[in-house]
Amino acid sequence: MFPVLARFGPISIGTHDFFTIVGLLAGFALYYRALRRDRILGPQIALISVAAVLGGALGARLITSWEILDEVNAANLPVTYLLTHGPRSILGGLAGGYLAIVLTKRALGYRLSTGDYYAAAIPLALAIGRVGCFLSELPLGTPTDLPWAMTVSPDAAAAFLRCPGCDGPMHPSMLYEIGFHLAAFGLIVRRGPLLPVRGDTLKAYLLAYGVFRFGIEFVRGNEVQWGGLTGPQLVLVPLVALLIIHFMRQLRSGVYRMPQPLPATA
Amino acid sequence: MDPKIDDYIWENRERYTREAIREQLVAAGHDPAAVDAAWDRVAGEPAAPTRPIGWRPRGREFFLLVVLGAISMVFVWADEPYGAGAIAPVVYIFLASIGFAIGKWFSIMVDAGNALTPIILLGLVAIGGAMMAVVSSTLLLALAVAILAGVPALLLFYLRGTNPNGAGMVGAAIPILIWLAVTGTCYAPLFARLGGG
Repeated sequence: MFPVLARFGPISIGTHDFFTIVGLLAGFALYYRALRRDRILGPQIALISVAAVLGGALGARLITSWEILDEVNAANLPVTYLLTHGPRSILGGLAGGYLAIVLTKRALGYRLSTGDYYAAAIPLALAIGRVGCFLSELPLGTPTDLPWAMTVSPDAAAAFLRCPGCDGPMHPSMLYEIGFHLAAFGLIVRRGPLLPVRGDTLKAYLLAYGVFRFGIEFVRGNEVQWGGLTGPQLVLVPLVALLIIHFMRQLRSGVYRMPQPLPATA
Repeated sequence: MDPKIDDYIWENRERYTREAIREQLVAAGHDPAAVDAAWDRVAGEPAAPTRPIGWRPRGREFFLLVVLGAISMVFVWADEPYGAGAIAPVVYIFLASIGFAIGKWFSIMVDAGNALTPIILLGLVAIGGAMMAVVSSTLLLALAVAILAGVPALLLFYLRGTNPNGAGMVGAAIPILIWLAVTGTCYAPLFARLGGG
């Protein structure tokens, strides 16, 4: 485990924070490059991006904060503790960022869908960000005796308040996620938009990730909250349902059958 | 320049991707180079159509609620130490006024098509807020500024197009409710006054 990447006197750089920032920068670089290529990069897009980052940051902190609400109340801590020390969730980051983009576009009267420009950027950012999780967070996953299972030292496990299964080999669940995001990134970069409707490639990726993540949670080692499901799984149920409803509506409307252009004259 | 290509791109560019439109045009027998050239031409026109919203500066509802909120603070925190009953309403009115001014200015700038200055300012405020939040002793101040000034500014901005009067009321009411809910220090005097503490 490498929770601290580097120290410069009194300042230490957290591994998780470092990879999160590198992931965000790489994602935004890719996003802006695609927007510039299509000549739609402007101040409004920059404003939407700022809103996305702020919404993502808030969503990441708040979406699973209810998991520690009882502990916060028991310790007589102010609710602000959730914002400063609450669990961080990439699902909350995605949902918060998405909501912020929708609201900001509505406020600006911006109609063009820019979702597909994020479609390659988000998996790249998440793959890089997950490297930080892998290097600094425990447990890696649930216990397993599969050949690729990984173990950590007792000293590393002792640094975590809750580390079930850390005394033996575990699923490297973060590596599974990194593999998924890299595969999605490669597919989208190679093929371009997977669907003809603007924004639907991003939604297809989010749907695929939602389903994948729901499955991964069974080997992730997160605490079961209700009905045998972990916090992220409970959050994913409505999010995935909304995406499924979207695609059913799209299919029913026949929007994937594009209008035919007039043929070229010889 | 083939107007058939330009028209097809213009009609479909908001719904379909560039790649899908190109594929359709090339399949219909159009020259790929002509399609790319047409895309650059069409994309060079106003790419993201915006609807002018226009800010109608109606602060009457906003400031009416702010003053009512400030008066209620005087009673709720009257018995608190350090003169909280006198200081809190003044701080609240000050921050809410800043929020109103930012919301109004932000709306005027963005609707006039000049979003760059607000973005730079927002970025600086975000960095400043994050730095304040890192130092635990100023965390409460950072939260106060964010909630009592930042939230009304954003609400006024976001809701300006749909209902300017409602924007003023919501912009004034929501921050004080969030503030009461979020800061543990507010529960005690509130409950005491309501006979619950």
